[in-house]
Amino acid sequence: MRDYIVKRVLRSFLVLFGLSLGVFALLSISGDPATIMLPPEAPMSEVISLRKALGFDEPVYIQYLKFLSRALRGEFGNSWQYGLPAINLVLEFFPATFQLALAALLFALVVGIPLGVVSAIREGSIIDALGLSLGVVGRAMPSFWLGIMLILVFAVNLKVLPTSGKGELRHLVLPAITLSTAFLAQIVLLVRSGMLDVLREDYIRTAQAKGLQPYTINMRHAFRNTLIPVVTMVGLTFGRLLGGSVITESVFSWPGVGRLAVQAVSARDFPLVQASVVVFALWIVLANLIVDLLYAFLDPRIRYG
Amino acid sequence: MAVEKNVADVLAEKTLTRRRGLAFVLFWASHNVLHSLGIAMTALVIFVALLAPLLSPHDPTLQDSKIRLSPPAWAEEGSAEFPLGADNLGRDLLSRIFYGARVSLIVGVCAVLLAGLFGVILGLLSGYLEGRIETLIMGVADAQLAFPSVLLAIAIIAVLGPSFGNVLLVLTISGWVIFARLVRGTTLSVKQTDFILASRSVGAPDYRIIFRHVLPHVVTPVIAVANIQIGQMILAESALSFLGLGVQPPTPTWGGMISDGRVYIWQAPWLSIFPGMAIVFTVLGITYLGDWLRIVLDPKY
Amino acid sequence: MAEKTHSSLWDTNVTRRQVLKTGAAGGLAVLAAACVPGATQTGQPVDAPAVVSKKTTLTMGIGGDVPGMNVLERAVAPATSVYYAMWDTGMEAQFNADGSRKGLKPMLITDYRVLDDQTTWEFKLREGITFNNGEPWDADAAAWNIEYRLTGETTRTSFRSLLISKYEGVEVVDKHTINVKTNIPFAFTPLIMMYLQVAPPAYYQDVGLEGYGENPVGLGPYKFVEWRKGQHIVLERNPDYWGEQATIDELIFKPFSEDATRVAALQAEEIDMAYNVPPDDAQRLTDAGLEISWIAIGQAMNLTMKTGSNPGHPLESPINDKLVRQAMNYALDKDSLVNDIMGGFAAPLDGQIVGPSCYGYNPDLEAYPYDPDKAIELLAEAGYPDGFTMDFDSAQGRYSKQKEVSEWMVGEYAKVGINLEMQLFEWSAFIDKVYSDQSAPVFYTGRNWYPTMDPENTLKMYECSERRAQVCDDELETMLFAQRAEFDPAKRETILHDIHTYLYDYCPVVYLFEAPDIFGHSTKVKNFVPTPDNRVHLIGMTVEES
Repeated sequence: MRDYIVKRVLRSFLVLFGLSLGVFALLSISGDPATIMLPPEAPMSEVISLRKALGFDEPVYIQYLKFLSRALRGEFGNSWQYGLPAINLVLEFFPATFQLALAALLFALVVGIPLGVVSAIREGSIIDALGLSLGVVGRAMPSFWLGIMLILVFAVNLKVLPTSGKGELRHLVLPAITLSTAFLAQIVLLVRSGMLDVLREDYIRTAQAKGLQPYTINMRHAFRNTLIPVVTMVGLTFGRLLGGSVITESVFSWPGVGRLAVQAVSARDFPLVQASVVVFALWIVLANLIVDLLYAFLDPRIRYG
Repeated sequence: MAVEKNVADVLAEKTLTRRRGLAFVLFWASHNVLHSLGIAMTALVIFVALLAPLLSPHDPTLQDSKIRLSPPAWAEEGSAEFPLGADNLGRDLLSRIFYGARVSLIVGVCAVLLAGLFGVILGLLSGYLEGRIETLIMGVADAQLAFPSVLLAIAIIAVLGPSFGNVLLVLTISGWVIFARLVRGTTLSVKQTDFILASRSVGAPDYRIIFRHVLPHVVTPVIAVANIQIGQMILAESALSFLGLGVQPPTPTWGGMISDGRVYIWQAPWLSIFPGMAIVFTVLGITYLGDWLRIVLDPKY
Repeated sequence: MAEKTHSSLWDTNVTRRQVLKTGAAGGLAVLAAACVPGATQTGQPVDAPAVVSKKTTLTMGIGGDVPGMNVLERAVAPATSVYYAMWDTGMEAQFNADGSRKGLKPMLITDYRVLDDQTTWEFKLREGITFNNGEPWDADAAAWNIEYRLTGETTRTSFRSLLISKYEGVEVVDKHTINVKTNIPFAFTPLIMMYLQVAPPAYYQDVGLEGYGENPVGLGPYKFVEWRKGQHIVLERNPDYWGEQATIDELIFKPFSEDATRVAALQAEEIDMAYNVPPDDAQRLTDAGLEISWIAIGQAMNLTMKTGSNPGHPLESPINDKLVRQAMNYALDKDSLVNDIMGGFAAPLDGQIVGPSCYGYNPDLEAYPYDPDKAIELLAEAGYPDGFTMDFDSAQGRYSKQKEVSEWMVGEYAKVGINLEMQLFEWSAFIDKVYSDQSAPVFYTGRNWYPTMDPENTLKMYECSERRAQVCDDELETMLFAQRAEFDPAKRETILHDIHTYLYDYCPVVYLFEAPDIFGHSTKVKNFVPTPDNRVHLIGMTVEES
């Protein structure tokens, strides 16, 4: 197990390295930051001097090597928009996104798993159809649309929840629900199809034949076996939620790192983009590691050497 | 050796015989309301997409500021000429939804097929072979997940310019990981089952084991996710169009229509609700259809 | 000669619209009255002495995140909404009740003149005032601020961009006088001081660039209190402000990048005032008991055409022909655009790239009439009887209804046979394309004359040597250089009128409309008057607790 973790950590460094290279390459072909940052009235001489000040007059590979050597020491430089250390900004915005993603995840699991289990047990029933449809409808609604609708209903008309912003727990409700639809449906469908598969296995029939309680069969045998795909999905989506919560964060004016990163991309704020990508990557690597370790726990047959 | 190979084949055949033929499946499907619905709904959407020019009452790009934001026919100020009303530029909403079906369906289905294809292959390889290949594939997958898709989209426009093919490219690049990781997880687990261990120990070739024994087991979760992803991709197109990579206006797409219509949620909610319903209808149809497919392809039937 | 133009820019310019629209005299007059220093504390409600001690707060929803609070380094919207509350400018614009230009208001700079050499500008600084931390505002502070902006490695404000290519140096004359030297006679120099917002030099050098960005000290009616990044910025009234005191005790700025959320927050009474209300929401908000205030600001929305006449930026396309460019102006129904698409919240441009709020606006010009037949005729005359197809670039997320206006134009032009193939980009990608001269022959954009309300910056685009000049014309260039070196306002105005007349015929753009600033606010907010310079004047505004 320890070897496995060591291997994974080494792999993570490779991931980070490849990622930084990719991000750097894409950033450098996505437009000249000097023209974008300067006011429209700036003369050409200004563009040239700003390029120089930012180090863009050098060949790309030199820029990259310089970036890499600084990044290895944990320095990403100052954000070009904020004029403040980029990594500090990312770490300042990170907790809000983490909080939102966690709340959304919990909501989706608490609603999605029971719905999936019930749908499977009562396959073909009205409950099944409802469960299936509810998940799909939630998923097919674009999150910006759903978010605005929720605001209109609960904040403007009923006035029971705040429209936006971060503060008390109340502020978390609408954004968390909006974000959770992002994978509520996936959980319902995965749990349902996983359970249906298992319920047809021979050993379940054996268990039924032995006269075990249906509840015991469903929970101990069937449900447990749906967990691999569900855990994969949860790990994946949770890693993704951090970056994927951009729209939810914008709609609800949530001070999260997703919004910060996208804003940095549109402003071509290279240091801030780099810093947020590295933080995302570390987070995703960690989430995936946890998922893989959970595999071994959920299915004792899987062993990591 | 020959005899031992047969052991694996016999095991496989045992599962295959449970399929009982297409005729049975169709018969069975007709007895499940959801499945019949799925077939009917999906067929309807495809039908509308194919016949959009015949079905549409108007040119979907013709604008007339006089009828701007006019409500659906059944509302007080609605007119039968524009059954679902008109949009913010005075274009017939129904015609736009019909035409939008074409692009949205193609985008959704193609992107999922491409992403699914790459994802499943890479997932199978990394789950089955492990070792270096797994490290490489999963490393790329991790990097891909951490990568801001906005940046990817922007860079692709900068280099290749906006086009329909590039929309698919971005959606595929950002969509394969979910399939790969899902398939890998299941493969890791299936690989440890007795009959695969048996097949391997008797020296059945890897490709054969993968295709005949592992693949059927990953089909179920893959279809479940693919269903959802089609709707996702249709919606993702609208996010891309915001970055200038989507299908360019005035070509109508459902995602784009919802995105434009959200500004009018109060004054003209139909602008975003009807295309939204179109997406929900399509995704529901595909989901029910997928549930049926899942059973058709499941080795345990 | 020495006193040549001295303060004549403060003078009033009466315009056609001002004459036509004297009816709306209410609001701006209040503002103008409130602007006279020491003119009484008009803001305080006279009948409510008991609530004087109660703190009043104005919470405002602005268009997006404020990236940084270092005014010396960078000042772009929506951060400028906050900056104007904390930092006075060298001077600011004054307006008549109808929004037309009235002249300049002295702020940190009280007076200026050009010396005999026509390249040395003498600025008198307001005496006896201090920064919000007590540091004195004097010639040393002014010279340091100007020098810092023009020589700093990373500063990229409009102040620097406008001045840098003409800047020779700054010198301290006496405690309250500085001289700014330019390398050519440049009549626009004093107006650049309208961009000047200043930091206390000792404090800045002490805390450094980053420290200042986190804890800025300004010179203005409000003081910095707190910045929770991505959440809010809090300012409080500066009791030691040199000018008339603001009446509102506390300002809270909240970022909302999504229009619908900002409007919803206003309706839910979480904010008192919302910037950038979408035109289509305005009527609904009025019905819901909220108030809408709007004004056409100094921003000309236009379809810019690459005429191909500039050898530095050659491009072959049908719009190289002036007749085609004129046809494109005839082909659009500007009234329908303003009334239907913009919901009435915009003013059509009168066949020129500036509006009546700008110095040098030509009142004799009128918009190209909507005449699709004439457009088709002109196209045929130019050799395009069947129309033509051309690329068109636009973006979204920047201007009000940007995508919708772009789509509308595509649809309208199709009606006269001009097929525009539109590509919508993300804003920065669009800007990069435009500036690097990679854009399509036509693109939709805005051209600003705020906050100076002077066309120098707007017209600079038509000089051959400009970074993205799509026009090069000898006759035009002669006039452009002449107005720049003309120090007599009346003569300069005549030249500007001629330039606009020339451009009316030349058609370097399709003239569309003046963009609006639309604010929604609760009825608690009183005495708010929007002005065309794209800033909120807080002095005199009140919030009445219900």
